[in-house]
Amino acid sequence: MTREEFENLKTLAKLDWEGDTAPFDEMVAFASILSCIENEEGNEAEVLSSLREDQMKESYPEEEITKNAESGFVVKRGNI
Amino acid sequence: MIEELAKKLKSGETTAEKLTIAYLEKIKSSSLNAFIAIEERAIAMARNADQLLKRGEGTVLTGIPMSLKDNLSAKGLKTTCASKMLANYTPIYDATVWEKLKNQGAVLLGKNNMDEFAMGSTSETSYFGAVKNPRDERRVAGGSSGGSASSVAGGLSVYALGTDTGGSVRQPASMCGCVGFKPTYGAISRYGLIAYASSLDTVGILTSSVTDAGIVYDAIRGRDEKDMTSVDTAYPYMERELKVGYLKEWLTDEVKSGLQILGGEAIECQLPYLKESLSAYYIIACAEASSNLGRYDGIRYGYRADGNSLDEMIVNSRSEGFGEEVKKRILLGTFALSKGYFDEYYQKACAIRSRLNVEFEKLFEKVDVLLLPTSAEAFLLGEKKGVDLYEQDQYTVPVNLAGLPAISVPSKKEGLPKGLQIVAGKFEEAKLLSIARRFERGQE
Repeated sequence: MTREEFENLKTLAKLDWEGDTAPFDEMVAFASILSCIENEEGNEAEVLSSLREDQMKESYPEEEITKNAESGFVVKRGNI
Repeated sequence: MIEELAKKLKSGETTAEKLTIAYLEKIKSSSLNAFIAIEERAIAMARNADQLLKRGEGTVLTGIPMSLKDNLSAKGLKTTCASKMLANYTPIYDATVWEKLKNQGAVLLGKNNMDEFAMGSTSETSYFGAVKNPRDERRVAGGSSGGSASSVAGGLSVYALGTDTGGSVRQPASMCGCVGFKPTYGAISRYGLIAYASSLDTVGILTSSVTDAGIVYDAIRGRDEKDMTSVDTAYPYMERELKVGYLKEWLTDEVKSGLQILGGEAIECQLPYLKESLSAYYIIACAEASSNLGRYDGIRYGYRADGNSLDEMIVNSRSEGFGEEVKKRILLGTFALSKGYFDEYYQKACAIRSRLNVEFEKLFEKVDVLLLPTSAEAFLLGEKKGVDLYEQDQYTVPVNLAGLPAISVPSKKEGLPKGLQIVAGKFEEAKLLSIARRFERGQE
């Protein structure tokens, strides 16, 4: 992470950080394991969405389910 | 232990007041640093409990001295979350869990030390100093409910409530040598709990036996109108031929001992995404923390620093009020949610979580419970730092991501303690506690 990116992040979080970014860089590297994950079935968001859809179908009858076109999240009708 | 004490209280062999005084004296002379605040009203609560018992009223928990992790609100008693940010915060209401116990005549001894805002695995990040392990005071007590575990294992309270976001009840229980029980997400109300990561936070129970954990769980579980994530749970367990699952990659001595003691059919299981789940947990927890801790701005409540402008005052308050670990996690969470990184980090972490849920569901179609290690042995204070500490959570976080119930039961009688973690399907607490009790008794 560049110093400029880190400064922007501090502004967003409304936090100051004394010293260098080494401890934070270590955390980002630790979290970066996720970026190595290959999408097995195409777009990750679609996989996530379809998983949620499957789970919802088990819980609610078909006619009660609708899909939010913008987010791709499945919601129960009437709860929007 | 709870039932034995309750019998003594009921028969008049001792009184709640005598018991409370004895525990308060132990706390005052202890060097474990397991408590942040002592409840000055404890003796008055004990006297009330004695009155209830004299009238033949009350329950098995009436007059039993206990403690609360310092992120659970108790009206009129400082609740600091072990942070400078809330060092002077006194809640004006009770957490539902404490309200339920108070209504049964429980006696609150005080508030347990912990990692600041429950962010840590050793209870070393507390603004009030590190908690020590009662088995060896040079070692960590685990975390983040380290004060709760240390006080139960060290004989400073009969039982304690903690919170478990990524293993924070089970892991310190394992390191200190007591029982740590995390029920299914939603089984216990979280009203009055100071939030860390709301989709993961669960109230948990620390006791000296599985039976005690079941008694306390029965007293505090159930739907609460003040917490929309809470539900009533009443899933009975019919004993049958046991199928016990284990993972080849985590077949440790504790797991082997569990398989041997529990008997039944041992089934080797597969659970993908184990390695990824640790990173996914930290991304999700930190993202939620960055949002939840946004409220600490020095304006509404909490620590306030000086500043030449509103913005400067907010930045100074947050920078001076939060400790280093909390700041790091807020920054990581902000990073994971920021434009350009959201898809790469947060979205993928959520996908891992969904997939892990599906994998656990498949697994519990084949087995009754899954046996896992809970933690490594307690290491020396200050020995581990940074991501080395995060890796200590590897055995516990998959359970939180899936919202499952799990319990850590001491499995080693010699040397430093270590727990066996038993995991069950969602809302199968009755089965979990029954099997955990079988393991506990099998070791005697």
